[in-house]
Amino acid sequence: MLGESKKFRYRYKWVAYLMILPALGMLCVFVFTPLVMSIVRSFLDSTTGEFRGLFNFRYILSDPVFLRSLLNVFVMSTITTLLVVVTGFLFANVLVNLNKMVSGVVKVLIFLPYLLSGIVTSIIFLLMLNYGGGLFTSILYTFGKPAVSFATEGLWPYVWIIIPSWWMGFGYNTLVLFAGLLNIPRSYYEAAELDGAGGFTRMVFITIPNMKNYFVLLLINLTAGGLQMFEVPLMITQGGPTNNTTTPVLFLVNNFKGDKPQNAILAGALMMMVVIALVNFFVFKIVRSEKSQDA
Amino acid sequence: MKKCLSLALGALLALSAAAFTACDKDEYPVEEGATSLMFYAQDFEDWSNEHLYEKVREFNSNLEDGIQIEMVMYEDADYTNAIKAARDGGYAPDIYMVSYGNLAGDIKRGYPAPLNDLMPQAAFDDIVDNVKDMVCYDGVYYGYPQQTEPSSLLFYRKSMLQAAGVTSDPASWDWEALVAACAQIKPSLERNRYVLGLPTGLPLAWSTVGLQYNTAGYLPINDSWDSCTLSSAINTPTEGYGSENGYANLARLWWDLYSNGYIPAGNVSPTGYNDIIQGLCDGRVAMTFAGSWSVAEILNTYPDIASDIGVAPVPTVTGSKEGATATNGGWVYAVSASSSPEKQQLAANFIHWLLAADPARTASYFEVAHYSKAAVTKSVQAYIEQQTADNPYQDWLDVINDVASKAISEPLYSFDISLRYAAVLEWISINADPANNARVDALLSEQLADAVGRITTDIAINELAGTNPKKEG
Repeated sequence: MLGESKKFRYRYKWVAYLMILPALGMLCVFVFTPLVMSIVRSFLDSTTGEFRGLFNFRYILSDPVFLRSLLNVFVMSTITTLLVVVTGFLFANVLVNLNKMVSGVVKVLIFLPYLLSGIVTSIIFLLMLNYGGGLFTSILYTFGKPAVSFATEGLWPYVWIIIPSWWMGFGYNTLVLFAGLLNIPRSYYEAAELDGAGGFTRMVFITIPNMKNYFVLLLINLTAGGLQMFEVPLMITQGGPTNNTTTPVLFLVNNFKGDKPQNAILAGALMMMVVIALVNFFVFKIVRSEKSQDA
Repeated sequence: MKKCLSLALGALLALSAAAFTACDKDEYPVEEGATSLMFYAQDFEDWSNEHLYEKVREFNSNLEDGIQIEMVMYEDADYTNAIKAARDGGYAPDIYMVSYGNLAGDIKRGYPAPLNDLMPQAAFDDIVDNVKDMVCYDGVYYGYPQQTEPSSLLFYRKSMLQAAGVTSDPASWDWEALVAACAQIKPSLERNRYVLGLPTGLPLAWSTVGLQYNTAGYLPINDSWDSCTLSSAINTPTEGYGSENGYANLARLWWDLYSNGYIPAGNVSPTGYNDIIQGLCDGRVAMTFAGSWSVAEILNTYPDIASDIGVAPVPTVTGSKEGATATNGGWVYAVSASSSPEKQQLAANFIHWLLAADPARTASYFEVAHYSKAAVTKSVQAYIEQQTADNPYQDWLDVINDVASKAISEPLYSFDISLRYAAVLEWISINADPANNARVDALLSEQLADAVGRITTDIAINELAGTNPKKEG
């Protein structure tokens, strides 16, 4: 019987290879080859093609705007991630307690922003924030207040990058947390209630520990996604004022067509890829090592 | 049913293909046996694109010159990629467009062919001197200029100045007169109206270079491109714009304008400096710095208020408008060095036909542009002068032509250098607080010192020292 099984596997092995061949081919053409070429080019002079060692990496790391963009993106993505997770968790708890029909409608409504691209979302917010006559400017005028330049004044540029980013991610991540909450066995809560545990105690000792893997997954996924933040700052602030909201990807895109050495831009992109890959690596390690007993 | 559907679909496809072919033939009559030249053009304003299409069609309609132009127009974002991909793939276009600022980089990489032997010398002699300098390197012409656009002029609403009691001519203003006029205009404005629009963000870096040069007499790095010239601007008193370093004085002007609340905190147009004239036209600012292209915007979109608008060179520290007050942006037509010698000659013939052979033909571009751009050859300038004698906006055109004739070229060094000083001005625009007027010099010095450090790093990392293509010797 065992021999038959082995034979079966052997006979269809080539079919399996054939089936993954197109995907492998596409990956080779569109991912691996460009990646290898990029790595090679990041060590070459952009004009002459001569080997320049780490010059391109030093070049990009010596650019104060690139360094600033790293700080910007870490701050903005951390705040956005925490906001999404905390508000998503609170709202998921509300959803769990709603009746089925209302819950269904609310879930659809909060999921809608996730379907919009960052560009479309930014345009919606730009229409509200426009200094020359957006919705908020009109409201301020109505109350006799002067217009506020949300793209340049004080902390507003950060606020109006974080809010659209939160808005886009809130619905999807709330639904993930909602699914997580549904997976917690009701028997845990019933036992706790019999022991006289109140709502806060149940939250701290049952809900949060059982949601740990979901939190870790969302936290790291959102941080990894946040590090690639591009569309919202591009549209809302163009990275300004004084590069306070420039993100690494925005910096790289803006400079790719400029007069900076293109291979230095490639080096910057590779460095960002490594940072994001490291973050993803940690998520997988942590999630795998801390599997819930009930999962 | 299925058969009917298939037949209908097939007929539709055949009709579409026929219609497409017919359109194509209509646009470009085919000259049998002619050499086909590929021309990559950049997409600009609609009127500009239509004009270029019309000229290419006109050129191609001559079925005896042995040349057929195949023009492909790319939008701004795609143009750089398209031309780079074509070069990397070994099919660079025979004719392409390049900005004045990028021509030097192209020459360094060997992209454009020398035109000296491909066009008559008279065509080069016809180019006005300051533009000649922008296309000619060591006596070799690498491109033929189409137009120039001064990056910065002062546009103002006559009625708003009059209502505020400002009687002096803005064309004569120095900075103190500008600030005094702003102080006079501010109380006369309704709520949420501002005195003056200034460039913000990236445009600060390219639109103020002419004014920087006018004020300081030099650019942020020296001619040898080996050191930053802003060092002496640090720790100098700027009261009354009296620093010996013009960059400190210009920073002080920005401080004075912003700290007094004359400038709006945000862009008065959603698209920033390129369309800043909208803010002037709808009355949100009484005056604004804007590029010469704004003239076309005024005449196309706001013709009713055009007579209320005045145009002057931007105010300078001394009030004199004899020197450069702007940079000349604009575009050059170039022939690819990678094309065969025969194709290079034919490509040059097309460029000569379009831009140099007939002043009337070249001037037609400026006519559709409402003369918002300056002509770059003496013959076309003379032709336009005759044609526009009764133009109601002749005084605008005179200002544009005058500013363009004195303007400097866009800097040839890395754009990062321009961004560093622009960062100083941008910092002022969001931090100028009248409460800090007492320590303004210290604050400006901090920013200027930061700019010096960054420019010094830029010079080193970009290996700029000794690479200025315009440095004599």
